Amino acid sequence: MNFKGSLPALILQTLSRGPSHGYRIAAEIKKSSQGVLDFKEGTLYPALHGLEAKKLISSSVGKENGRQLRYYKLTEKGRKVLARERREWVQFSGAITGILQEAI
Amino acid sequence: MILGKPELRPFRSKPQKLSEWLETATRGLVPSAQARIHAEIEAHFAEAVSVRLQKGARLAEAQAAALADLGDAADAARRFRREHLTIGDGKQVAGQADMQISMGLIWIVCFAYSFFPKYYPSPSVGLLLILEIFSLYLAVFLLVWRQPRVVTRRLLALLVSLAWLNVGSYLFLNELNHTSDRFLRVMGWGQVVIWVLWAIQLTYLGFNLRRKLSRTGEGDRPCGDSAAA
Repeated sequence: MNFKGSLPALILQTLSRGPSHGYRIAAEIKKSSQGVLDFKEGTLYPALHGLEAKKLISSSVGKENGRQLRYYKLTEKGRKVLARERREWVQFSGAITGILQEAI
Repeated sequence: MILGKPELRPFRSKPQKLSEWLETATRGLVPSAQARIHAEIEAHFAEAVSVRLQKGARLAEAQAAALADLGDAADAARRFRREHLTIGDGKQVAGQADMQISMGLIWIVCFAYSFFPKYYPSPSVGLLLILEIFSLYLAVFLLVWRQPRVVTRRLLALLVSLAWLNVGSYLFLNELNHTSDRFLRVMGWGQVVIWVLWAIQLTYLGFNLRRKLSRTGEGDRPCGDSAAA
């Protein structure tokens, strides 16, 4: 399913559960959406870097199973933006659902 | 090219190896950005392959599937170029520095001659003055560019520019009343126009580059940890 533009919000939501690295973030988004939201993993990293540029997330390098990985963490600013995105999404989806149900 | 016919571009197939994917995705980025992306995607790829191997896939299949999951390298490249400093951006910054030097040199000539608006100096005195002011400009320029922080560099560069502009405006525009000074007056106004244009261009470039430079500090430090910043 095409979810153009929603990837940053999904990343923020995933990171609200705790710090994580790129592969795990991608896997969790796919798993949480039960495979409905599928995306090319190469686009995840520019999105992560963009969020970091806006200081919504921060990153640091750590080791796991002998591999050097970059861990991303939600910042306070990111937490606020995520809360706002959630509110807006609930409003938006509620309005669309109302209209579509009316049509049915 | 043969007999005026355009040369055919080599056919670019999909990347068959991770190194090819990375090369396409990071082409044109500054080395620090390339290094960071390479490290991240290589770790991601290794993780993806290892998960597939655990599920019983063969190595070649696991690698091919992990590569396919990364998607279009050219699309990733477009997205990375929006977020990271490119070599082109670096050239723009360098171009600005060159332009500042050039403007400084023009200024030096006008500034030196402005000491003697009524009595044009002999070539030797003029040359001496030019060298003297050039040394001063160079010292200030080096002081500015030795600052480790981008913000400090820009602030100092702006202050120096404003100082030059003010001094020059005063000397050229207020002190020259004699008709024989028309040339210097024109030069003075010309300089003002050039400085205004330069300021507009710098502001435009600044807006364009600010986000990229402030990102992971590609202007300040390579592959930085933003969490530690």
